Amino acid sequence: MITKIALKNVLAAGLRTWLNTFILALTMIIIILLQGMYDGMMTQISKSRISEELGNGQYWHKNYDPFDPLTLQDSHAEIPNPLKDAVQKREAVPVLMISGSVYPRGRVLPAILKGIPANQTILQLPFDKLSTQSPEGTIAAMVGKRMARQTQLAEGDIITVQWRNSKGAFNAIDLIIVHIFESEVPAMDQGQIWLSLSDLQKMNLSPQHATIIISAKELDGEDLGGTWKSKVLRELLADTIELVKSKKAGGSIFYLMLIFLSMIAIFDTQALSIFKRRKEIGTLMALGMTNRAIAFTFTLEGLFHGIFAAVVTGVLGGPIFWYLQTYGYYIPVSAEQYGIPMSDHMIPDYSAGLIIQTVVIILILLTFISYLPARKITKLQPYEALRGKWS
Amino acid sequence: MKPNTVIKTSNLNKIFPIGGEDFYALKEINLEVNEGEFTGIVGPSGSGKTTLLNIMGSLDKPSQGRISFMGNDITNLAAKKSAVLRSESIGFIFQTYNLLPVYTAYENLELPLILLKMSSRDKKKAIMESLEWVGLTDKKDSKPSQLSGGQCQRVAIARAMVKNPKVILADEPTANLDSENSHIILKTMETINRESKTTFVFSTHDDKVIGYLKRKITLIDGSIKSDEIF
Repeated sequence: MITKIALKNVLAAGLRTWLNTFILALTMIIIILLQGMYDGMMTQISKSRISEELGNGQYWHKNYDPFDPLTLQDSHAEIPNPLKDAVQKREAVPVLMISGSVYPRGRVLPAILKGIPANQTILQLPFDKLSTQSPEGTIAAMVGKRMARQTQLAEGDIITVQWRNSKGAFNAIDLIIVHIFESEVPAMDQGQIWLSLSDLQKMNLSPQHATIIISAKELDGEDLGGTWKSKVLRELLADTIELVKSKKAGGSIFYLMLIFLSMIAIFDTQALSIFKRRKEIGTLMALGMTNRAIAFTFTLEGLFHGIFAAVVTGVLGGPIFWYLQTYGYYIPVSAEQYGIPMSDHMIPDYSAGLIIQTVVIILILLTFISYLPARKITKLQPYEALRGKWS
Repeated sequence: MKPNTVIKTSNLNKIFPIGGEDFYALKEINLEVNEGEFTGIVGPSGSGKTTLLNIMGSLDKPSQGRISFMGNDITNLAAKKSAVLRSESIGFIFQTYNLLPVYTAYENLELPLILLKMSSRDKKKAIMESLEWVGLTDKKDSKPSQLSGGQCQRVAIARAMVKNPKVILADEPTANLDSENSHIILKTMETINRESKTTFVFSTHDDKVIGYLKRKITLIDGSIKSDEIF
């Protein structure tokens, strides 16, 4: 009964109802768009990093610091015995890293030389190109598109690389670029040159050595002896998680403001409606409705705005969400400057859970906001309401 | 056989604090309204008519004294029980009709029956009967904005009647009506009173209404000055 009364009153309000519905629907759509974008960002970045950089966990040499190239000189050791079998079976991939300098077109640029087995299958990058036969006196190498852009290199170009080996001696050799690969992960591309592991081990005079070992299986967090530290996936993704979290926090402020503004609109509508319908409230009391039932009716009227908004969100927002989730957003190149490892297209994640959660939260807030002005009705005396009094 | 007493007040006072002093809107009201009466509480503006009617209808409480309805003390009735009493036993007719604007005539009559949790079939029967009483069956789908003042008041009478209340309290029911419509309304209520024995209590200062009354209680400055039966 109360539902029917509330629905009738809301529909009878006409434009006022539809304006509020529109504002609420817009709020819901924007929140879902933003949240889905961040969720998609998180999923996409994590997926990219796992498939192209991290595997399911890594062992790091105890001296290795990815943020300090000066540690590379001393951060490699023989592949530990417990992992040799896994490496053999291609369930683990050793990567050796050393500092060097390259000389593209007469310039000098610092670069990290990374050696990886050409036949590895854990990282989804075309390192198999490293097994390409190279002309005599050169070694096959690969660079990513970003590095290629920076160094103005193309496939077939020959560049000189200089490095300091494990014995402390400087050496140089020519590299031929056999492939330029695309990667969504800047950490696999910028400032790096990839060679076959065996070539780099020979160059560095460190046979069977690696700096990190990438595992196909999830790690249990146990270090291997004193030399190799275990890095589980969650630890490796921590910076990505924090990055997305910080962006989410910024977005939250925006949609908290949106929610606040739309709740103000509903509150105003409710307060005005109750004030305007004082006599009607008195009549309902005279007819035998309790104060609580009347207050509940008005609260329900406010809630109906939210329910209508949810429907509008589904009707209008649904196709938008579907389209974006299918075709994604275009990300400008400048986004890379923020260190966001993403392709030029971001696929947001508009899960049913996200949509339902957003709608439910707004409906709960709406119920509370609608009740605030209506609670005065519970204290109202019938004869006061009939007189149009509102103390 | 003595008719049943529907409403009884004993030493009833209603006090409003105004400007730091107590203002007596009603003073020592002792009266009994019996079943089937067509009674008016008459008096000039500010005499306390509406206040007394509100207390009779459990819309307000007396400051002192007692009031009973069908033998039950309702002086300090809790809000919820008060609502139930009004829902089941008391009908109201207001000066400004107080119809719900978004509902049709039919739906306005349906509302009190919904509160009584009546079945759909019984509701329909009761509503159509009530509309027939007031001669507005053809207007059942009209909203108040589509009805004249007289028609609105007739719908309001039908709404008050539809649940077969023990008493109907009418506060200045003809104040917003012209002469012709006033007489139509009064004749309708008189017929209902005669045929269904529903008790009517009016609050009025309209001579047209006074002319129809069977009992006239005159209220001056909150006190009963006379109580005449015709």
